[in-house]
Amino acid sequence: MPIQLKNTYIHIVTAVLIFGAYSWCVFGLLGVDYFTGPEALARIGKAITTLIVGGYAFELSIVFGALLLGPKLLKDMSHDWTLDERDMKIFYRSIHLSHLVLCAGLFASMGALAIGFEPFWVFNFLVLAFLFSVVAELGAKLYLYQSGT
Amino acid sequence: MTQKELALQVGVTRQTIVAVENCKYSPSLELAFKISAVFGKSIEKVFSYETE
Repeated sequence: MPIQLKNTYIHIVTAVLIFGAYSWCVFGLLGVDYFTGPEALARIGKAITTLIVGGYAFELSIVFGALLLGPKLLKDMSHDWTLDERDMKIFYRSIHLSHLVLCAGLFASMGALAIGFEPFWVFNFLVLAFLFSVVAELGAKLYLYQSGT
Repeated sequence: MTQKELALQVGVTRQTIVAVENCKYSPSLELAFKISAVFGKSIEKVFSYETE
């Protein structure tokens, strides 16, 4: 399996873990009631900040872990680390799709706010848009790596 | 010549060579020239363009 595909699969696993942990904390551990009342906005802000900071910290730890273990696991695959023109094309196309999905989600969230949804749900629409954008990016990468460009 | 050797000589991954061979990726002009140079042939001898 090409290194780029392996990398994409690792990102899928980390995305599932990050968003799974967020959903479990917000909807299971804390509950929707925790995000209502006078301190609702501050708590929502903390939850989103924790998601972003914690998510990036987790991804970075995975990247550094892979870099440390890489030479042992990959042995004769050092050449496959080359980032060539096709990889860049796939990267830009998947990022472009991801941004389109994220923008659509942002507009949908603003629309939800305009028609009277509570801030908690609007913020979670944003998180959902973020999740969909990650799904779109990784899905596009998987498809393009397997089928060309 | 193996796909890996060709990939090493033109500076791309083996997967890119596979994709070019299977007509799933159109290489840049620069890469097409590099591949042609490796085989010592002109670009039109190595690549052809077919309209659908």
